Amino acid sequence: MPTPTYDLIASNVLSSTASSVTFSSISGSYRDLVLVIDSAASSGVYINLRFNSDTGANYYWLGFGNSGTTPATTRDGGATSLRIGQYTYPGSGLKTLQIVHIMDYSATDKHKATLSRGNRADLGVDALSGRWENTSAITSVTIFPGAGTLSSGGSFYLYGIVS
Amino acid sequence: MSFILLGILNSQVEPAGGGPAYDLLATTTLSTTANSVTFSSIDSSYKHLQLRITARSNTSNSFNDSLHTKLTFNSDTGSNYNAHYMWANGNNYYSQSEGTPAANILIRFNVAVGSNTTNGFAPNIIDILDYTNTNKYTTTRSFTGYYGGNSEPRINLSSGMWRNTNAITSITLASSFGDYVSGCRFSLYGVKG
Repeated sequence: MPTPTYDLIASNVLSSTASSVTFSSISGSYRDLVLVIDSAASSGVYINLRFNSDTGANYYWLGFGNSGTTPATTRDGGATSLRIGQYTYPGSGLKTLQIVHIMDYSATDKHKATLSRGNRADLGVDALSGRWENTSAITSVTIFPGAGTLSSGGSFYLYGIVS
Repeated sequence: MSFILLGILNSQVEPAGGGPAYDLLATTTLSTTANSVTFSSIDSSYKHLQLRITARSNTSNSFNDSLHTKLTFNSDTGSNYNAHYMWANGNNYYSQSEGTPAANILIRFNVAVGSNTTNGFAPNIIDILDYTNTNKYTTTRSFTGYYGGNSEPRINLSSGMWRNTNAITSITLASSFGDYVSGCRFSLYGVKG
């Protein structure tokens, strides 16, 4: 008999602007996490993640995208946060959809690896891979813009997948 | 709409007959090294399949174009697979095709290696669409990538096709170089349609 596996853990729909959104006290009973973000933010900023409030230079990320004319690829090793989009947010209330998979988030023998897909319909689509150089189980995820704020109305959903 | 998002939506809205729509079919976490992993006797009552993997190899090769997983279905090792890839490393952007049928679908850049940072396992998500439909060749898409802290990071999107209309009953994933190490995780999910 198959096992049901895809559960909503928590959600947050912003009723006002916010400097960040944090999911904390995340249950360790799942295998992977999936973070779904549909939000606008201040113009020209990237959205980033931090795990367990770690502000050290322990994040590695790599991305590529295409706007229809020019491909782009960027990376950063030893960053203080994990970027999840190749493109900045457009501002003016325009939302960007991003889906982030956080694999084996509760394993204590692995660095935490992520796969992110972004869809900024007015500019381009992208894909990124990331790694948090830490073997601790992830118990909190913080989403924040590089500057400015997340806009009111932005929605943030955290799902857990069992294995 | 993203297939992944479709899965999410399905998990929130009960399908006809009720019940969940995204189910774990099988999972394997290696306790020792293995060159391949096979899922067999796959339940045919789903519409799509999804593989979620974290992988590392014991090869001494570097994390470059050689580090892949070879994906085959129903033990078919004939030249019956096509694939297209696009990937980047943070500096340059690449694409490649397997327009001439090959003996497997390569899932590129999906296995961390010994030269990568200790405890690093590369993430993979592989979707297999309409796997029981006997009127279609079976198609796949994969999303992989890894930044191990050295000079060889990769991010990759690819598509694949098995030029066969048989329903898929088994899936084999084989390391292209070296063996998968202990701790590698392979999970297979079914998505109802």
